Amino acid sequence: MRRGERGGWAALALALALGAVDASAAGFLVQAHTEAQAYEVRSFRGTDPTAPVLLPRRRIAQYLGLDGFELLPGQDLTFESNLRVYADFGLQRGEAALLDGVRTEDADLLHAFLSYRKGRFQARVGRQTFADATDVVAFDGAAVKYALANGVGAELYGGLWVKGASFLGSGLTQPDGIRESPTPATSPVLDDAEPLAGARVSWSNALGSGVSGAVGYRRAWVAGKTDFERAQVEVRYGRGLGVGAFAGAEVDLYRLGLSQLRAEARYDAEAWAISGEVRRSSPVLSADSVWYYFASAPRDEANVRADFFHTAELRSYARLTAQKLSTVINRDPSAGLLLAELDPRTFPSEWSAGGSLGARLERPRWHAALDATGLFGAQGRSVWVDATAGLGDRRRSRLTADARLSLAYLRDSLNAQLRGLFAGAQGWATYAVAPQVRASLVGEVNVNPLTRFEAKVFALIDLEARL
Amino acid sequence: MIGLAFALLCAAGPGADRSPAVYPEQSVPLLFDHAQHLTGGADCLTCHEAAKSSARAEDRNLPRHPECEQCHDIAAAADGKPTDPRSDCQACHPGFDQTVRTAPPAVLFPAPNLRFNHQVHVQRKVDCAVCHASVPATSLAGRTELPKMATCLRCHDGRSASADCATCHPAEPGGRLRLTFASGILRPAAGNPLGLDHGPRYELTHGPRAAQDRATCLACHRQSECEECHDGTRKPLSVHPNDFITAHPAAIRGNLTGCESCHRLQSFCAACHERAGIGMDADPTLLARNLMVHRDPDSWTGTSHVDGNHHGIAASRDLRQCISCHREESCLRCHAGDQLTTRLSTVNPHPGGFRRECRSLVSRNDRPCLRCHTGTALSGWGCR
Repeated sequence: MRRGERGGWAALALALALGAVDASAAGFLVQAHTEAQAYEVRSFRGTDPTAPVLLPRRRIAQYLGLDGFELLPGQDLTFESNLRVYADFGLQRGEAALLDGVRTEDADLLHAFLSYRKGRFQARVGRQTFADATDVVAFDGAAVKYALANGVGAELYGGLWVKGASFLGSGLTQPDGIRESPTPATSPVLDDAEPLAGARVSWSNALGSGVSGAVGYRRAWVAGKTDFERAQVEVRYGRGLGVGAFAGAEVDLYRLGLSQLRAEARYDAEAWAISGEVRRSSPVLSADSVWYYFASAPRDEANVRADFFHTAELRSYARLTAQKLSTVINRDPSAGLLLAELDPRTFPSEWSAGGSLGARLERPRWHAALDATGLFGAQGRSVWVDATAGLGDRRRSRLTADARLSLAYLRDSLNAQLRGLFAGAQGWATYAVAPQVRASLVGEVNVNPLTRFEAKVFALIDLEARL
Repeated sequence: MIGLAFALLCAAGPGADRSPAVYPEQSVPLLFDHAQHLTGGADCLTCHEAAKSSARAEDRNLPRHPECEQCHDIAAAADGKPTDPRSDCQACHPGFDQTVRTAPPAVLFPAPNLRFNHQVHVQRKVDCAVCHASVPATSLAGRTELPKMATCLRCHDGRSASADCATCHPAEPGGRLRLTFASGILRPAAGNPLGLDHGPRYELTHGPRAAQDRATCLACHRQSECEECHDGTRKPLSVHPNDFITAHPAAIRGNLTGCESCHRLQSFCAACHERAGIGMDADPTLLARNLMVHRDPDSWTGTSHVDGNHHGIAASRDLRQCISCHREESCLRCHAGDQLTTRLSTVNPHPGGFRRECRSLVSRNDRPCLRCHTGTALSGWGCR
């Protein structure tokens, strides 16, 4: 049985199981969101550059959410779930079988957990996510949390990491750098179950100082070998408006290095806010990936952003950014690298700088926004301008209409074909068929020097019902 | 840019007014001067006695004629007698002519969309001025004299009083806050005391805030809202500009970290690239036209002559860009082997000093090592 078919039967079984829950519970929320896309993507297959092969995309994705609250009378016992079913009618099964990470149809259970809370104790069982300042993981298992009166809390969690090859699993939070499924050319155990365990101790507003923070640890194994081992620490300060600060870091304990770092200071006033941020980031790679052991450097970035609240309806912002890429060359003579003999001054620039400006006006019956972003340096030159405008309030108007115009002037550092003016226009309309059902139709037209002309159509249906 | 930012700062306004989702718009067609009354000897309870025992936000706690008549002789004024203080209808109801209308224009004072208990606050000795500080200097009080969230959080800090959002904001079944009211949508606005203002392009900038305090986000948002955007299947139209499929390589060079919050490089990116004929490791039936997105292919992978346009430099600077198109096999073609000192056969891609840590790494997970090297070679180098 193919994986997608297994997913469909499992989804049906889950729906039947949920349907068996006693409907006398306090309440249920059912949500459905359906999105259809139809367009073609230019490919670079074949041998004739003047006759590109166009790949059809005919996708439909549906999200089905079922939440139940107070499942036992008087008890804070809830169930939350989100199932995605997906099909790409433009992709043949035979072709999909050749592409790791692509499926013609699939079902992913993004989360489904029972949550129980009583006093200071909280527990979750099922497919869930755990997030800290530097990463998010999804796992099938259990998590418990206990909070003391003075704001100190402790969490323990463990289970199986949700991977692309897991049952009804999405690979989004799976460590990167390896395929989702085994192939003859790679390790035969990439889809092995991956147990993970973690703990976190946190404190909130310690001694009334406004300082909160957490220290965490997470480790995962594949076939008994370590795949991931990291520790996180985060500290933040805030006492309402005024000065706020945050610092978070992740240490890779497997290779003993700082893998992620982010520090931010901000000042929030009623009419404006300003923040400064420095950040170091590295890809989160599986220890099974050979890339994890290559000479590479994290990306460093600094941003300053100011927000201005001119009126309740008009806001604007300005942002400055500087980025630095670092070059790591193995200069050990035994490495045999000719690069080591080059003068680093001949290397391309490591720096980029740029900024953004934008404003948004939100009136009761219409809204408009303008954003402009530029980045110049190591990555080439790019200027993006984006203008949007719309009529109606999506939450309250029966009919809303929006339009968007995007312009990009590009001179990419790596790909010589990404040069010139790229323009796109988009329009979409949303109509409330019923109070809890909204349907949208979106059209898009693009003109650029590479693909010349493109047109796309999207259709969306939103449904939300409370029982 | 800096000058423009300064100009914007100078043009910054007073910030947002009270949210209509919390305090609906009022209409109070009255003449009244709080400052005058307080100077004249009245205190808050003279007129707002009901607030002491009020347990619901829906309670109006506003004075009616009986409270006013403690000082204003309304009956005498109605008989045409002179009173001090003035007590005729127009003294408080401007323009009201009882010979024309039977009642003055109605006071519209909708209940706030909050959970609030005056009685508890009074019992805890919270003075009226703590929450209504501007009233003594105000003539007619309105929405702006009602407390902002920043005022509440002075005490509701999680220690002196609960900091849970649902302590004050109405919640839906399940505990999340109710967001939609007839008077507006509840959303963090400019000047939000938690710094959570959902300003322009918040869909692109919320990440750092969400990472710092996810629990606060989950007070309003379901986890499914995060997943529907962050799991890379939907196409959130406000996130990517038009024509992003064509132009995205230029965009990601400046912001690859943001891409990974929704797309796994080896799943979403590499697979699509292989289907489109970009990348070296696709099935032979999908083989690319070899368009060579890299400039000057000879120096890009050169082994006899190299310059600054070499893939080794690009890879060391941002490995993510390699991983989004290539599979590991791309690298293993040249970088795998046991003769690491022979230039023409293999080139060592590890960082300097790697051999010092190889023993520790091999002992914990030797599987990636064995993809390129034999066990004999690992032993020979002292790695096992």
